[in-house]
Amino acid sequence: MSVLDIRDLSLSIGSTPILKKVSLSVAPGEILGLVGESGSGKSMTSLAILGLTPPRAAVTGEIRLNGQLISGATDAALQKVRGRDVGIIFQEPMTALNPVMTIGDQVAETVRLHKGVSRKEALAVARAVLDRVGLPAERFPLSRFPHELSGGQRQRVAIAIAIALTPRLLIADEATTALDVTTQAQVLELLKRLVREDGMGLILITHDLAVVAETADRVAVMKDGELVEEGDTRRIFTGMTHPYSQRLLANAVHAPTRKAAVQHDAPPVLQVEGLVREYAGARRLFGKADAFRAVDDVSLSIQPGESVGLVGESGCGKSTLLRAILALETPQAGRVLVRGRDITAARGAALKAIRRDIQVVFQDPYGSFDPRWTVARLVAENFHLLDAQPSPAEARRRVDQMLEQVGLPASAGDKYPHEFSGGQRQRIAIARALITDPAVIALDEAVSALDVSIRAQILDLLADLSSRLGLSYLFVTHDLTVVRAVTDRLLVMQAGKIVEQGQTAAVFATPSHPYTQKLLAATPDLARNIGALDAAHKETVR
Amino acid sequence: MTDAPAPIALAAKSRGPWPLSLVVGGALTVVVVLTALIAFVWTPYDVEAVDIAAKLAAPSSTHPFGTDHFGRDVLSMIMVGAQNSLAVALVAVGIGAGIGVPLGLTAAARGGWVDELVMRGNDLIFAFPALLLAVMITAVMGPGAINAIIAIGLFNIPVFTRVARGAAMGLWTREYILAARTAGKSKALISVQHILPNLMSLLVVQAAIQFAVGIVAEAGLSYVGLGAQPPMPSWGRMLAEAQTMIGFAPWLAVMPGLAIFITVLGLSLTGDGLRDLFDPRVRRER
Repeated sequence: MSVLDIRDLSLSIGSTPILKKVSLSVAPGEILGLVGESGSGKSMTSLAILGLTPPRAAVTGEIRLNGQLISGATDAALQKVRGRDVGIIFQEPMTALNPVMTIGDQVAETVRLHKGVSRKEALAVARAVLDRVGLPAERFPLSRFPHELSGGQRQRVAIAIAIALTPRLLIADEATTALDVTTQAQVLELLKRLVREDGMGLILITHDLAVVAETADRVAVMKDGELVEEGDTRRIFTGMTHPYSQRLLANAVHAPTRKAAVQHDAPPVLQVEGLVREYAGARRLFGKADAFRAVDDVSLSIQPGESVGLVGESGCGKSTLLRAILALETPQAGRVLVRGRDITAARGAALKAIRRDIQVVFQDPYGSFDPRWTVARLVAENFHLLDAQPSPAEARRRVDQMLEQVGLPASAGDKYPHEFSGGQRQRIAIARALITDPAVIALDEAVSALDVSIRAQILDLLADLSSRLGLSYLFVTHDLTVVRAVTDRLLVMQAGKIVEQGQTAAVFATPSHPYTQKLLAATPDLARNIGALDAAHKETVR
Repeated sequence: MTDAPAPIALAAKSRGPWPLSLVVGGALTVVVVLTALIAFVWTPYDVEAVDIAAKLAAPSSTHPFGTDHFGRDVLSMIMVGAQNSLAVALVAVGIGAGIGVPLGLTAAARGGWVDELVMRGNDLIFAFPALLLAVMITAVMGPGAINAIIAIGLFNIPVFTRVARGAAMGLWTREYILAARTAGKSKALISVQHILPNLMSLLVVQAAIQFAVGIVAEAGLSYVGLGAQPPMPSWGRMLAEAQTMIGFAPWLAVMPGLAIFITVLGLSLTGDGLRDLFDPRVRRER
């Protein structure tokens, strides 16, 4: 008998259909990968299973959990099901836990709610469960608070809460998306182990096809609230039939065609020499405060037309390095030369002249624009760097021209940022960066928040702009897949230092530093995973 | 991994119905303001005309709010008193916002010792009870409407500094501020072009609340004789004078009391309503 059986689940809010006749089932001990882009309805499906749909949503269809019909059940009945028969883990480890409750109490809470046992007994259960998810008693006593744990450890606590009552079904909604690759690999391993040990069903909701390929037994692809394709993981990845799934897969491994136009003999456009950025630590009563070295003696250089990747996990100092390069923070030592001029020492008009040559595109397509400014005004903001301000008519003409260059209609200029999608906003950010005709553009996780299809388009745009304008890029990211597809050279950063650098292909083929090796091994690699699936299949056939 | 704080009081995107508190509060405020404006050109009686024959008359058709112990028309006095109350509170809010907001923006933009200096100065003003501060000022400079304005205005400064600084600090970490900095803009220019417009809704709400606080403060100062001086009518002093006659002429206390009540209620509701209107999160929960 299936753990979960969904028949013709439809859901609409007002007159807007969110889910259209979705049918799914999960067997005991099975991992179902539910993939799709934002707005495809994958998260809404999981909320419907828990009966947590928005109040005004109209739901039809049947949801059976362990054979028991739960669609249409009262909230009181569903409360008994949640936590006991179904556990869920959300994306954000920072907000999923209550910051003023100890981890022991948080795990025990679920136990006490459903079992009605004493606090002591519940805490004993909590202890056992935390041990199971890899948080041993000696290092993680029950009295720990969430803020004392790292992101990956918090996610383990969230998993412990979800599995405390050994539910038949576990839902992981983008549960590893916010984690670093090495942590992600560990959490996925943990989930696989728990499924194996408890024989529960797991729905792994993600946008990351590589994660699904290495974890799931079966894959379901959703688009616009519909289930477009479903099947065995190997079958899906080697022989997708639906055009949408095929496109999704193509976009995920998309590498834009780039013309190699790196000018090796020319002087470098960006040179960083011995850069140090320290933060003052906690003040001591006597003596000097401890200093934390976020960037420790970093040197790098970028040639005209070259695309360089800077990768590392969160906290490695890559963002601090980027800010120092952009003269948003003052380094304690070292120089940053943009076309031979030191940006760290420049002031006033000289600094403006250097800033014209180095611009930035940030990650968050929602946070990088002043919500009260029109797009034309936002793109024109960088005209502030010019010695002679263009007339309003001339400025507008150049803005419109730039918007067209990045693939937006000129009429976009009169609208506000919130009227655009994430991908369009990233185009606006690129237009803003390009308006002063810079030599280098720094991209700070610039495509990380985008869906794969949009990401592919933006990467194409960047490649096209680079070959047309001879631009150099500095890709600062944690995403090795993107770096592999679009960079010539790769720098790997760990604990404030560059531990390895070299031609991208060479680093991927033969990583020499142990950290790079660890990073590459932990990164879900779609091509490798599909290859492994195929090999395993041939093995069984033989 | 975006752990960004929710947007601070973004303009409401969906134009739903206006919050009820704003409609009611706005209506009350408009009535009070109109009353004050009408009093410039017309009042039922001259507020300074003494008519001993009609003294302590109960509310009637000739004197809707009654008369006081000099036979002056209470309605007329309340109408003119509204001018005084509103003017004092308005200018005091102006002083508070005019000095407090730039201070707060500067503290947030500069950080370090500037921030420290501004905020400790704030604490110093906050540490004095507002009324005591007003008494001190009027003791030094003498009673009068102008000095009441200065006292209340001074008390408003740290309120606006704190609100502006706190919200601005949150905005300074936004990527669009970083982008503006890579556009070579100075911190002062960014404060004016990006920070201030995004704080505006917050400041408008705070101004409405401080306005209401100012009305009460002015009434309090007048009550103890430190506000507007006779013969200029003022709500606070009317209350003080009514005190001894409350047994046989209750309207003398009830009418100015109601005027203060309605004005403060109107302004407070307006403040709440504006906050609901500007803050999409509160809107959704309603």
